[in-house]
Amino acid sequence: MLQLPESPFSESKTNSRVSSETPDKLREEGDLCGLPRSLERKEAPEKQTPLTETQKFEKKHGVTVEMRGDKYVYILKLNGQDKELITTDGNAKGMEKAEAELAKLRNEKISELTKTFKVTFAQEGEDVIKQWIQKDDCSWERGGMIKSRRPNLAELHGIEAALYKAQPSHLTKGGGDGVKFYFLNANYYKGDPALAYFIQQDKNNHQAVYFEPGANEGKPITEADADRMGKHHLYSIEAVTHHELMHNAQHNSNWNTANVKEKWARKLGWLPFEDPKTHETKWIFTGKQSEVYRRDQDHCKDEFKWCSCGKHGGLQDAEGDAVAKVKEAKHFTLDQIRDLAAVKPSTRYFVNPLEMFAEGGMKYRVNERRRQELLQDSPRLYEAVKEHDQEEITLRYGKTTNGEPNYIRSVSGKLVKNSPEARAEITAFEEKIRNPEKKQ
Amino acid sequence: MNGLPVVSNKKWQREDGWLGVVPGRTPIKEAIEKLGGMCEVSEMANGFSFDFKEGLVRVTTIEQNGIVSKLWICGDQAHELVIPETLKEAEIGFQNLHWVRHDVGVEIFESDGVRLAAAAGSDNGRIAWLEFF
Repeated sequence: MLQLPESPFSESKTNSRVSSETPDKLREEGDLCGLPRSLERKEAPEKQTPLTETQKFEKKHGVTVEMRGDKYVYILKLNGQDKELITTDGNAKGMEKAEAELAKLRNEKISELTKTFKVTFAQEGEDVIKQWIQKDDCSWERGGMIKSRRPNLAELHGIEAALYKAQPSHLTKGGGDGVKFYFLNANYYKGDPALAYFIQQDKNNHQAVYFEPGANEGKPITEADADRMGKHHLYSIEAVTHHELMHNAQHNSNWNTANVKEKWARKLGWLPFEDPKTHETKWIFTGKQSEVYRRDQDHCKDEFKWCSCGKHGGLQDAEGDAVAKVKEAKHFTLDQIRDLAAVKPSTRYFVNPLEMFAEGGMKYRVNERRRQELLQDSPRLYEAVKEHDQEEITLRYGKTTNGEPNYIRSVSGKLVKNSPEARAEITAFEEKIRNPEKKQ
Repeated sequence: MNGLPVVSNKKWQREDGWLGVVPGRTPIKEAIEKLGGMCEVSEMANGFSFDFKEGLVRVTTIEQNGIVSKLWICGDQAHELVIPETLKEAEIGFQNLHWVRHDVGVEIFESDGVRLAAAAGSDNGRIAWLEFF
């Protein structure tokens, strides 16, 4: 049981909320968007001190409430700054007024995002889908209907920050529409929390993103806010949105087709492996010395383990002998695999090539600092993500009469006209990182 | 129109195969001929894959036995490739289809000799891909 980092939306240290998982832990275990799940997780919450009315308000709206004299000041911690939204009397009536004002601001922001990006947001109480529940025999059945809530201002600003830099990955396959965002009131898989899911087809046949309950509570809104908090965990609302929109980009780029998915996976050092028993396509991950590893489990209730493999994907023990079961194989920690990998994953969340790619894409787009880290840490992942990104941009926004893309992604993450100056800026940025001795 | 050519009272069985290919029985050479001849070959860790129709259909062979191990079909042109277009259609054709796991954007279902990915987020998700093994 691990404690969440202190909420940036609360000044109080006496009431820090406790969760069964930190976002970082979720990434480590591979649950950012629900694959695969650890079933050993304990759901029972630790004892919590009841929240004060002010704290409940902060949690619901994603703002910080500060008492100044006899007034409440409502603050949004955004882009590394404190943005004072409104001031009311410092009492329950003042908070009621703030509730109405914040709802107004929220609705305005929703309208703005819908108008600008064609994205939509589920209504309060809207049906999402029936929950999946696991039975004792490992089989699953549908449970009750999950409902959606409206996003709060912090969530909207985090999504907005991502949308400006994720273009065109916020669009549906035909390009005529943006994705729909849902904020679930219950976990998509009961007892199995994640942060968010990319959804190929919601109840209205629309591409969507589901945010799980509590996924954004206490989170920095943007990566700039994450840096301000002194954390470096890449789990801001902005970062999670980027990650899920990268999955949308994969879907739009036909990753449902095996050969397309494998083309990109191979660039990242992953090879398909067909399990001879189940005929399921699994992935093996290549190390620097061409040695290979596989992440697998023997039973649905077992923890996934990174294992040593022979070159054909069969499990091996510490002596290099073939073994049949994951529990008999030589195991590695996630950090060991990350260090051993021929193509280094950009974060600790790399349970398969799709997730590793989505994390790389998130770092490539989110801001200059993260893009720099990506290029420094993993040049091959950087190149693969950049190539995929440009393909998607060109597909959506076309080419000039000379056959050059109309748009390219600037170092900041925003799309810019493809000009010699814009290209020079990117080249200079990349050269500086690739050849640090030339810095002066 | 439903993709599955379901004959009433008869569910698909493993030995029926698909498109004339029966995984575990059909030699890879014969499968290539049946699927049109032209294909793109790729190496897997423990075998080879052969892609037809611009990657919409794939057969694999593993462990150097020369027999088709698996037939994979993309759901993008389900109607043309005569596979079910939605989960509910698949449930009609394949007995005991049950949920096994989540994957990015999809839910994976299996029954004897069949595995499929249906779009997550819907009770009747579109089939993203389907494989016979």
